[in-house]
Amino acid sequence: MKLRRLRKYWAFSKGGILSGFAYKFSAFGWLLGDIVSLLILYFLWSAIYANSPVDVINGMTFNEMVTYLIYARIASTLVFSSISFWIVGEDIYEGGIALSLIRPMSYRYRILASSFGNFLSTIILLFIPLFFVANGLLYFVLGVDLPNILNLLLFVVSAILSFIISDHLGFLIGEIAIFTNALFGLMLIRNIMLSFLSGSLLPSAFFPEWLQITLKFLPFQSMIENPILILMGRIQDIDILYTILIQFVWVLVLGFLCNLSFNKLKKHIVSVGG
Amino acid sequence: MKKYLKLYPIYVSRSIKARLSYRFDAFVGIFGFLIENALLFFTLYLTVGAIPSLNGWDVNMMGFLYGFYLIPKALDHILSDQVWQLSNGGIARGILDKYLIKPLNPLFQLVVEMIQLEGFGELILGIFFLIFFTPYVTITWTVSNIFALIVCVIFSMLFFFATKLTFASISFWTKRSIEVMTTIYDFSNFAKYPIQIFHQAIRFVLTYILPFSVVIFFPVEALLFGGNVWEQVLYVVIASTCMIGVSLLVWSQGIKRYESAGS
Repeated sequence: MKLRRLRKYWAFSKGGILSGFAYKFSAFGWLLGDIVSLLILYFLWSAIYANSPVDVINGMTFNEMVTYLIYARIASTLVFSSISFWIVGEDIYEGGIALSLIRPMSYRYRILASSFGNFLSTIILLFIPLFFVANGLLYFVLGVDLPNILNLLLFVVSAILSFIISDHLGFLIGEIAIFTNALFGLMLIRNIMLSFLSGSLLPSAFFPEWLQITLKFLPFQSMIENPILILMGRIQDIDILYTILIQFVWVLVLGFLCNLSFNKLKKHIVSVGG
Repeated sequence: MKKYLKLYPIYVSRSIKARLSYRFDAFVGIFGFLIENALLFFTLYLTVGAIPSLNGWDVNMMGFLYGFYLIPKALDHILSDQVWQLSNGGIARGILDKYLIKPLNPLFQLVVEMIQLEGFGELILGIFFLIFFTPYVTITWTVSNIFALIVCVIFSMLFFFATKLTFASISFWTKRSIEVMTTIYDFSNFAKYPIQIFHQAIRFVLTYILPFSVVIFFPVEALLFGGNVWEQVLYVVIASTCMIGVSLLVWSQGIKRYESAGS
């Protein structure tokens, strides 16, 4: 990548940031709804630990569990800030994709750039404020230690890779729009599969063994669970590098799949005449 | 009234035909809601499965409760999904204009505008859960019990509808209320759990202010723990009737304003 080529894509990222800022304020209205689910989570887990004969369930104490679930909720805003799914879906649906193909740049990287802009605006407007509020609550209400700076920095690196993985997956699922216009249904399936398999609803330690083994060979755990375990300091030293390396491999593999499938799709689009 | 009963099936079949013209899309939507609830329950199943029981509720009872919760919610989802359009800025867009020029009740027209097939995903799963978990829980099925559950489902469905309508109608004043409406609607999620696990203030809200637990949880509790089911059904009917009264009041006040807006 030469610098000039990068600059071309950065224009799209800037556009993504600006449009992200434009409608993020309605996102605060949606956060209200999150309070309901957080309340349910808190009381449900309090009851779970109260009903448990032991203090540590699947390697987690009550405080660790609540910390994990709240971090997962906040980190989800980053992973779900990827909008490639919508851009591809709508481009295919409305035929805008034909126009995009004559531009002298890679379609995949262009929308990744737009999506990355949205990711940056999500960090600034949602993630940072929520992260402060959540850590304040955890510290003053439950007495949980604040995350240390090094883990936080490593988490940011890991979160960026998570976002790219999520965006690649979104792109791959968005391509299905060529067969169906049910973007809402697809989104529903994508969101719930991601939430469940990435460990954002429940740490994978609770999963049955066959599922845990299967997930080792899939990209989902790299998206939420692993970055959060890094942040909580539950992954140590050399294992952190190993975790980030695995994420990097997934970025490459899924990126390759995106290009491969898009080239196939392109032929299909040209053959139906745009 | 007779006129409406005659018109209803005509509207319904028209809407279903329109939706089925994109058969695969409808299927994706149905499958989406089915898989979403299946995975949400699987999460709960794994959570509660890590302990012996949750305040006396084991995983099978939780499954039965989840199944029962899905049915009225799904029926309401299928029959009155169009109500969401009011809160989503629809009032500002003037979606009610076309109803007001016809000699039919505008609320009737709004509700029959669309049959939301996606809700069948929840309905199928709900019925499946009830059948699947029944052998694992202690219920003595009698004609009276089954009848009680049916009455309960109908009134719970009406409760969901009335709650949606109340908070969608706020849009007549605020132009947009989908965030508030979604939050209130999400309160129904509390009813999937034994009410005893929540803080007293939340229990109070779920019993007297937004009685989602009354219309879903208490009847199931009575059924599973040998309580008086019909007494709970009475409360369900009372709660739903009150909520419908409130929703019709808010709606009728709102629609008066709409007419005078002259849009």
